[in-house]
Amino acid sequence: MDSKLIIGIGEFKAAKNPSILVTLGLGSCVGVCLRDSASGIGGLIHVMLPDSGGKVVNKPGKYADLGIPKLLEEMAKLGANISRLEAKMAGGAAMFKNTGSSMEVGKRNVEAIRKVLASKRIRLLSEDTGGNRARSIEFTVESGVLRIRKVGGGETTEMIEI
Amino acid sequence: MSIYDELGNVHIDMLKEIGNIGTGNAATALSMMTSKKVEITVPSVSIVDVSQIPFFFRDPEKVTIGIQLPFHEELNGKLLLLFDSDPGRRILELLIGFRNDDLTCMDEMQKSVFSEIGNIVCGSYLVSLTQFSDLFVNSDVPQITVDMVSAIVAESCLTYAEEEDKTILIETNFEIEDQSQVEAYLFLILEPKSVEKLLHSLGM
Repeated sequence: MDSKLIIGIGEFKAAKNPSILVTLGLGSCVGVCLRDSASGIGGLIHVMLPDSGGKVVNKPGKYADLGIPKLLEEMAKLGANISRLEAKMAGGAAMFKNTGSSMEVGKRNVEAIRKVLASKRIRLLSEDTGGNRARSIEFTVESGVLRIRKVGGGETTEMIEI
Repeated sequence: MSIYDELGNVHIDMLKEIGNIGTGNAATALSMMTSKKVEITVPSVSIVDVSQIPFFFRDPEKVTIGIQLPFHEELNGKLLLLFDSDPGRRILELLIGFRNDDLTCMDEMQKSVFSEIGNIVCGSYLVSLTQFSDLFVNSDVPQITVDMVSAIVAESCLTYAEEEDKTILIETNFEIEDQSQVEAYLFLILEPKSVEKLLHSLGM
C-alpha cells in the first residue's frame, strides 16, 4: 500500500519507494518533483517565491533558490545519486485577474526553478505551468508519474498525467 | 518572533467583535441587495499557519468563487469573500435573473455582479473596521477568481508570506433565507505591521 505524504505550502520532503508525494493549492506557487529512479528516491517541494535575496530565513523551502538545494541534501541523505535526478513541475498560474504583481510571481517562480535545475544539471522531463487555474498534484516515486488536478469546464475537476 | 505570538485571548476576542460588527453590516447590505433575509453566524478567529491552509477546509478542492478586495493607507491588507458554487449561482439568479450552470465560464456582466457583491460586503466590513479603530483605509478594485477553495485562500495569503508564516482568518458564515448550508467565508488578511497598528489603535 503506497503511503501518501502531504507537503504543505513552502515545505519539502524526500521519500523512498513506495511513496506518493502530494501537495495542494498550487496557484502562483510551483510544485517541483525530483526523482532518482535507480535508487527509488523522490522528493517534492512546494515553492512560493523565486528568490530569498540572500537573506537569512527560517523556512528555506519557501524559496526556489534555497529550497531546492535543501531538498537535494535530504534526498542525498536517503541515498539518492544527485547526478541521476530528473524533474517535473506544475504550477505558476495567475489566479486573480488584474493583479500585476501576482501574475509576475507565478512566471518568476517557473523561471527561477528552471535556472536552479539547470545549474544543478537536473533534467526537466515535463511541466504543466502557467494559465489561470490552481493545481493539486500527486507524484508517485516508483513510476515517476505526476498527476495534476485542476478545475475544468463545467465546474468539474479534470486530471492529467505528465 | 512573530507579531501573532503576541496575540492572546483578549486580542482574539477583540478581533471577533470587529468581525461580528463588520459582518453584521455586511449582512444588512447583502439583505438589501437580494431582498432576502440574511443571517450571520458568530465568526471564529483563528491564527493559521500558511503552510497548513489546505488542511483548514473540509474539502480543499471545492469549486468556489473568490472575490478579493485589497486595501491600503493606514492599514494594508485584503478582504477575501468566498462563495461555494451553488450559493454563488443562486445569488446570481436572484440579482440578474439568469441561471449559470458553469461558473467557470462567466461573462463580463456576471463577473461584475460578483465584483459588486464583493465591493458591498467587503466595503461594509471595512467601514466597521475603520469606525472601530479610527484608522483610514482605501480599497482597490475587487478581483475575482473561480477555483479550488484552499488554493484561493493560500494565494491571497501569499502577499505577506515572505515576512510572516501566519495569518488571521476571521471566519464567518452567511445564511440566505431559502438556502441551507451556505458556505460563504470572509477572511481578513493583514500585513503584520498592520496587525500591530490595529491592536495599538484598539488600545491594547
